[in-house]
Amino acid sequence: MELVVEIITRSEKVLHLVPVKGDTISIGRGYDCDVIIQEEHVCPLHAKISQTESGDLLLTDESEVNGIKDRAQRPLGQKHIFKSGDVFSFGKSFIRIVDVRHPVPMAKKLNPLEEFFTTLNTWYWAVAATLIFTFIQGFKRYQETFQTVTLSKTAVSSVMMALLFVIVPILVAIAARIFKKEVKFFAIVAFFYFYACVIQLVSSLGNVLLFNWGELGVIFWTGEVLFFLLCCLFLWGAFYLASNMSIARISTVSTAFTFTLFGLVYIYDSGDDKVSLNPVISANVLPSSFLFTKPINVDRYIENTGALFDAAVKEAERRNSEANND
Amino acid sequence: MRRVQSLFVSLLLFIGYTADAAEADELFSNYGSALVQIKSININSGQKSSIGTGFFINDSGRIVTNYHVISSFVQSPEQYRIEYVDEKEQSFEVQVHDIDVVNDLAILKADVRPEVYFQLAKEEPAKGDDLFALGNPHDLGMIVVPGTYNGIKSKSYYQRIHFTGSINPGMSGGPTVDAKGQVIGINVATAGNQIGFLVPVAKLHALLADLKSPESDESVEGFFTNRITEQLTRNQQQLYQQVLQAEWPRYSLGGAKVPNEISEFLPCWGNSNEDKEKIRYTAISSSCYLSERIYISSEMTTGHAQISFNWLQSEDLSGLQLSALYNKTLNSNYGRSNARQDDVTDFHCYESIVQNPAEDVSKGYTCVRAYRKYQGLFDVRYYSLLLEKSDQTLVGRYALEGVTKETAERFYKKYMESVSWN
Repeated sequence: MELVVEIITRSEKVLHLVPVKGDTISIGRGYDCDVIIQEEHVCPLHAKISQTESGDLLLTDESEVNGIKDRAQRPLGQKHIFKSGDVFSFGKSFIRIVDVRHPVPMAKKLNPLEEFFTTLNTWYWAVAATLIFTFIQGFKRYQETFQTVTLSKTAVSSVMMALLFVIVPILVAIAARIFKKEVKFFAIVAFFYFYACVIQLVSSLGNVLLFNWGELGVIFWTGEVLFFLLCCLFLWGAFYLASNMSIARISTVSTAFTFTLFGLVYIYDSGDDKVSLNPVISANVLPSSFLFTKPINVDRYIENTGALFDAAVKEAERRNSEANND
Repeated sequence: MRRVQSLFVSLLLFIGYTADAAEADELFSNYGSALVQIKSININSGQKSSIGTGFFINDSGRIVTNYHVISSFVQSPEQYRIEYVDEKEQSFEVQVHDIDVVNDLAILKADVRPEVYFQLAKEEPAKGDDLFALGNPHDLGMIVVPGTYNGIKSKSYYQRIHFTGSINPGMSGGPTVDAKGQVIGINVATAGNQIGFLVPVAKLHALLADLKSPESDESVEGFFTNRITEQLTRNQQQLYQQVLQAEWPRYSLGGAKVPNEISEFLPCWGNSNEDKEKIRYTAISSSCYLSERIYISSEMTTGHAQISFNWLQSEDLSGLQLSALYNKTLNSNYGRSNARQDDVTDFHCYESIVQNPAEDVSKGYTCVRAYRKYQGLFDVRYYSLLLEKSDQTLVGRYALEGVTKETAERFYKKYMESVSWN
């Protein structure tokens, strides 16, 4: 008789497996057992596996307490005939007993994402991503200062910023530990910093569009959709790296999460109908070399601002009628 | 600059002062009974919410005071009532008949026939003439303050009389009379240190000639809202007619041509950063504004106008660094915060790249908000940045309060004709 005894989790993930050979196989906490389960609710000799004359597998309960139960925690008798692949509960542990000839499913093709993250999981990718991020931060900071500042100060503050951001990959790594996923720390670091670089790039592109065309409907909505997708992508990556969920489930969860997040922000923003004391134009002008659009003339500008007056009048009417209804 | 501006606007509601003069005694004994204290009483609390002075101008019980003394009633007639307190400390309810919000005047109507009342002067006094301001500062009792007539305040669009004498809070709405006891002006504001301002009696004559009262089917609130809308609309038409008809003088601010004082009522002030150390760019600024404003309520004023330019230049900064500087300038608060959500809507903004008649390209931002009660009036702000030069720009901004769409458009057009590269 040649078997494999697997110690598994409640959700049937294998924690430990022991190949065994012989006429009878003993399972228990004792060191003389063929399969040792170190768990206090398991007896020194808890059970024996043997074969009947007809060749069936037979599990004999040898325990003083706790006994043997099936997967659904129903007690089994003193002797129990079972087939390869059945799961039993010993104390708090679950074991599965499999015959070596038990068929196994076809091998799955390696997930390209898994391959990608495995490749990414090297120190040099992590360092490269961190350096690129730090450099972009430094460049951005330098280009945003018009006061007298030393280069070293800018460099130090960017490095500090990058170091501070390490907290995110660390959190993802901790989550991976909690969800018992293999921690690919370097991959997590590389993913996060590359992601931050992409965000930076997208927002710079957005600024070019805003500078040229202002917050037109199309640009505004493209921006919102892009921002939504990027947010989704980040959560997707974080869940992928930190949990054992299937890809379909990760996609659902990250989309749902982003929806909730956007919804909450929307509710927060539209909650109070307050007016701002001063206009917020959020000007984001760039050097003229980034100017691609053709200017409009003064009359056209005046025509376009007409909509502002209409919108303001409409808002005044709405506020007045709301006040009258109170 | 804002300091100077704020000096002119302190409205008179508290603090006291005393004075004496031989003529003053005589004036007081002759006209004391024609002077009353005006109280705006909050109906819910039963307490006064503002006080001022008023005076009878005829024998049918007509009282003159400042609009700002009774503005709480005009804004919410169901929550306030107006009372006057006579010489004998007796209180009587009084009706608000009509107002002139632009000149801060109100005509009240009391149910009495006073024997003594003030005569309104028909002529302007000569500079240096003695005048006497009457009123009840800080609820201390009626007093007389002697002072001098100094003509109409210069650069004053609303034509306030400059009175050298202490006008104190609580004296608002009281008369300032000449030695004959004829009313020359109505106390309205102080700039501190013996500088007081009066509304010329001519404005009162104008209001009396055009007195209106609610139609039979019109609510009191509706009447006053329409009256204020009409007065503000007419006022901005006249003001901007004058400003926009004139040729705007232009001068060079750094590398750009900008309008200089576009009207004598909008004096300009300038500044530059060249005296500062460790600055990597040159910044020269000019700002012109109308320092007077129109009081609507304790939460809202209007009528202000401001136009400013900042020329920024640097050979040291990169294009992106300069852009950061431009953005900081553009995004800094501009214009006054003059109203709250009970009075106005939120700002609605638009931005675009525009070409002016001189074919210079600029980025422009316009923000507009509407007045909720005064239909057709808006606060407008414009922000712009001249483009196409790599090492310099001109940030131009203006803020117009309480203007119509038409005025805003005409102002924009004139502005675009007047701002360009050198």
